[in-house]
Amino acid sequence: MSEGQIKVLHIEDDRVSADVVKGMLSATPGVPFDLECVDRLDKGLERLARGGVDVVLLDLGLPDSRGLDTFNRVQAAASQTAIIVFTSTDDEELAIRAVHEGAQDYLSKGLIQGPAGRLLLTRAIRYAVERRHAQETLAEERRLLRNLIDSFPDHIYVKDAESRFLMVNKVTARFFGKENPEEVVGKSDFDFFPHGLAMQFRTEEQAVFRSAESLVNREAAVTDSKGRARWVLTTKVQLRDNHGRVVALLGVNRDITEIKEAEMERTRLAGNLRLMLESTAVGFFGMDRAGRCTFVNKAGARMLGYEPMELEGKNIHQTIHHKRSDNTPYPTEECPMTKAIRTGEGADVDTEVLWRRDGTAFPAEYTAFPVKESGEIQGAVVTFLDTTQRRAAEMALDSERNLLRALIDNLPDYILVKDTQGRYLVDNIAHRQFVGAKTAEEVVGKTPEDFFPPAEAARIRAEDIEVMRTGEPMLNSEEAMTSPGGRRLWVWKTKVPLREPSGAITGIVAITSDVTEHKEAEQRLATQHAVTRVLAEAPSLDEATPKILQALCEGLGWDFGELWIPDWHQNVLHCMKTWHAPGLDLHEFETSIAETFLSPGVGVPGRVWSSAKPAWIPDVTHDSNFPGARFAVKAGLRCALGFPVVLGQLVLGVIAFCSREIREPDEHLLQMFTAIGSQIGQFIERKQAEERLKRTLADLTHAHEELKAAQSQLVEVEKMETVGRLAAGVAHEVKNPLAIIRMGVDFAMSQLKGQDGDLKQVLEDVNGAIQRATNIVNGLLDLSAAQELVLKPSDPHALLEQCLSMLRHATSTSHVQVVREFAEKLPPLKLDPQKMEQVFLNIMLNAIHAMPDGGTLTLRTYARRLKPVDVNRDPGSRSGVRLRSGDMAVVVEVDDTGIGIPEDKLAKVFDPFFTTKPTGKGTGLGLTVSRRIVNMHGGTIHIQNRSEGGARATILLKA
Amino acid sequence: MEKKRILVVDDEVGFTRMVRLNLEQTGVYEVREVNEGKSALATARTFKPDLILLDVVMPDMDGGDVAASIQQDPLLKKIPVIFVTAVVRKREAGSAGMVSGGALFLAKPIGVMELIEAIESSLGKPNTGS
Repeated sequence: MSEGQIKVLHIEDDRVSADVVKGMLSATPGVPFDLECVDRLDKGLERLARGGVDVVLLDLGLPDSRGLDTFNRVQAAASQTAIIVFTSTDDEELAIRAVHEGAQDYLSKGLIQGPAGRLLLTRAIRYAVERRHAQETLAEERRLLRNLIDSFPDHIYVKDAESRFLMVNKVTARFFGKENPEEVVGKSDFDFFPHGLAMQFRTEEQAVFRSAESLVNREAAVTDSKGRARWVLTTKVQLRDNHGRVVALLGVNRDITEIKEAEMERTRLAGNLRLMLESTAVGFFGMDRAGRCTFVNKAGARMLGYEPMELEGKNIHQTIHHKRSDNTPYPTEECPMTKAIRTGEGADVDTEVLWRRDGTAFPAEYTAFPVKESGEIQGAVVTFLDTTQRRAAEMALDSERNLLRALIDNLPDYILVKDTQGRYLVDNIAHRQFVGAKTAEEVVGKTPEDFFPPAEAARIRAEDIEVMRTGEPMLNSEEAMTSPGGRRLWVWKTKVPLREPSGAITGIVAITSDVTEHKEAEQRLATQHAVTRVLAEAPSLDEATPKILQALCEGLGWDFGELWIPDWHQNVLHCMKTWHAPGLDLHEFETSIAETFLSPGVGVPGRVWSSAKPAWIPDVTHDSNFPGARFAVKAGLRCALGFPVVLGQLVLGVIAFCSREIREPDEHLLQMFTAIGSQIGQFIERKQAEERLKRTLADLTHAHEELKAAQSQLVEVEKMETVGRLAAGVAHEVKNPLAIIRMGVDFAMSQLKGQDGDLKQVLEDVNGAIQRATNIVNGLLDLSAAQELVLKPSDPHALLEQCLSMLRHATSTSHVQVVREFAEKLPPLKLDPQKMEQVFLNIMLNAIHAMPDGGTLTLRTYARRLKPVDVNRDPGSRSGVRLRSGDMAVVVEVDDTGIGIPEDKLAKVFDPFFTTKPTGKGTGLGLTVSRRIVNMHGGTIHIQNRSEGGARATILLKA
Repeated sequence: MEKKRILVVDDEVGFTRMVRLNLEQTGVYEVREVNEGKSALATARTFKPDLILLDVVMPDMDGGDVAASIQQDPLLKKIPVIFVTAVVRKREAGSAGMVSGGALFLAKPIGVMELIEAIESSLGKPNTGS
């Protein structure tokens, strides 16, 4: 459609009318009308549906429609098109109704005639279009307005004088829980709010209605349909019509809940802040752009010695920050606080002082926060603290730290701290030297694996893990360890878990003391003691040697020990004994050593032998003079050492050691070995001396025993001599009176002349007594008879026969049978025949007296070798008995068949004055004397009961 | 008949008296007692005994010494001497007495009969004077 053209659609069934209109419109100049004509409604509707029609000229009297219905249908089909209705003059009412319904105009057909009619029509069309347009525009604007107020986030509503809703926007509707605003129209607050609140609103609104005052931005607390509490900012104004009459009330409620809540929160926070500010020990003050104090909290004011009010308004820098700590002036330009308000740079300073009211200063830490609003600096907030105590504490801490550092750096022990991963955090100088680092940086962050051999590092780690796991400290653990340099050390380690105040373990503290020297000295001492003990207790060098080797090896940690002895004839050294630590396979090495003979100067032992000095080979693989190097290396032995066993200048032997570790010569050890070498030498000498001594002792003992025996005998002899002399004296003294008595009795008896039987009896009894006394005295004399035996080769048989003949009377009187069991040949005997005869006589007499009613007296002789039992049998024999087991002896046995001797008396038979005979018979000295005589011959005599009855006297005489 | 003269020398007074009593009551002998060895020689010279009974152990002078001095005296050396002593065991002395260097030893205590037997035996023997 071309611009400016008005598209007209004429729906007219009447041909004539249609033509008229057509003719009119086409003839109109100036305003181009584009006319279309249809004669039926449905065609018209169809056309309208295609759009583009500006005006519809509608005849209400169409054949396929009736009246208003026609109009409604057209309007419905083209809501944006202006409709002019044509009527006949008698249907004006209908036309008017159509206008009410929305037609723009109506024209009576009758009027459309002639030029006036044409004008009317064209004007009507134009006006209709424009009116439509205006209506459209208005409607558009209204829609726009509606959209606007509906999309506005605020509640917008219009109420009437009774506070009933005339209009509400969607937001309001939703607020009340309605989707459609129409549902709210006609209702009032009382329908949605609590009565009290609704009443309040109504009252307000009434006031607005009545007065010219608007209610602007009043806060109110309301509840929405869901029961949520909301804050709204209400504005209610009068709505007036063109005449200025108040026709309605316009209300706008802005939901300010969030803002309100934020504000409340802010207020609350501000309140808290205020509280905090006032209760904190930190000083706060605010500065404005000019550097004046806008506020200050109590604490801050107090720190500065002011009342808060005294500070407010004053220039901060001039008042409390005007001088430096050394009292020199502090220009404002340089002050960081001032900078904050000038440049917006925050600052954090803890090196300056603040000045109190009384002129004193204190060290402070302050932070200046610039305050900006919309990018503009408004001022600053400064917080500050009096750091006097902290300073002091820091200094104390510093000095303590320095002291501590000095301490740990001066200690010779290795002190370190590691984290849970084993990385070094802190260490002291001694530790750094130990691991070969020059600075702390070379250590911190590293782990033991970076410094120690793998096996050692693994051990360290295992220890650390254990301590950190159990939380138990490892105290003074004595350990052998390998240093980073590969040296063998003894250390005392203490490891303690590092804990935070919470108790959690964050690492480990370790202190290690090198006690190698101490330990080695200890070991040497212990070893030396062990060796000394071995030497003290061992009976011989042979027994001592393995123990010495063991003590030395075990005590000093050597693996293999050897003792070499020189063969002076062949002039070689031969290995006598070896010892090795258990668990090592050194068989080949041992065997090779056993077969080795070393000349002087060859090998370690050879060197030691010829030089009489110790030799030390740290590494045998680097030594050309080590014949067994091959075997040694195969066995894993690297270090060899030997020292001489010396006595004076003479080397008696060499003791050598081997070890799997390379060891450097140790002065202390060498000294100890030298000492031990002499010790062993002395031991050997001592043992030899002991041997000599032993032999001498044996000889001496032997001689001593012989001497004792002789002495005993001598004592015996002397005793007997004394006794003899005594006896002789006694005998003499007794015999003289006896002689007198005897003479007297004889004389008395001679005076008797045969009568006086009693007297005679008395005298005879006296005589008997004299005789007995005489016998006793004689027996005494016998006992102490001259100690000299006159030994002659004698035949015991002859002596026995002589005794038998002397006793013939006695044997026949007692009816005693005599049986001889004499050996055919006896070894030659040397006897004192007289004395021996006395013995035989005594024995045989006893035997005969034991058989008063008869019996058999058996005399037996034979020779045999003595057994130990024979020699030990005579308990009462004194020394002088020379019978020894193995000697050949002549045995003389005298058996009787009497009653025997009671067991309890057997032991006493040889005691002087012991007799089993009734009183008056026997002196009791016979056996004592006999034993004396036999013993003097070097023989033994003993008496025992025979199992067959009777007794046996056995005399053993040395052949 | 002339009694035989016996000199008995013994430091025991009781013994010499007993001997004298016993011997004299036989009526055969005349006995002189001497209780000191020293005076034995002098008494022997005056008494001129036929036999001397001599004790061996005497405090002042040993019987042996007395006998020796008697031997040295030409007038007395022919007189037989019988030693009567306590220090000899009877057994050693034997039933016939022990003869030592020609002298007879009698052991105390001795019975009278044995004494007389010994005296008579000595008197009967020719004195060899050794």
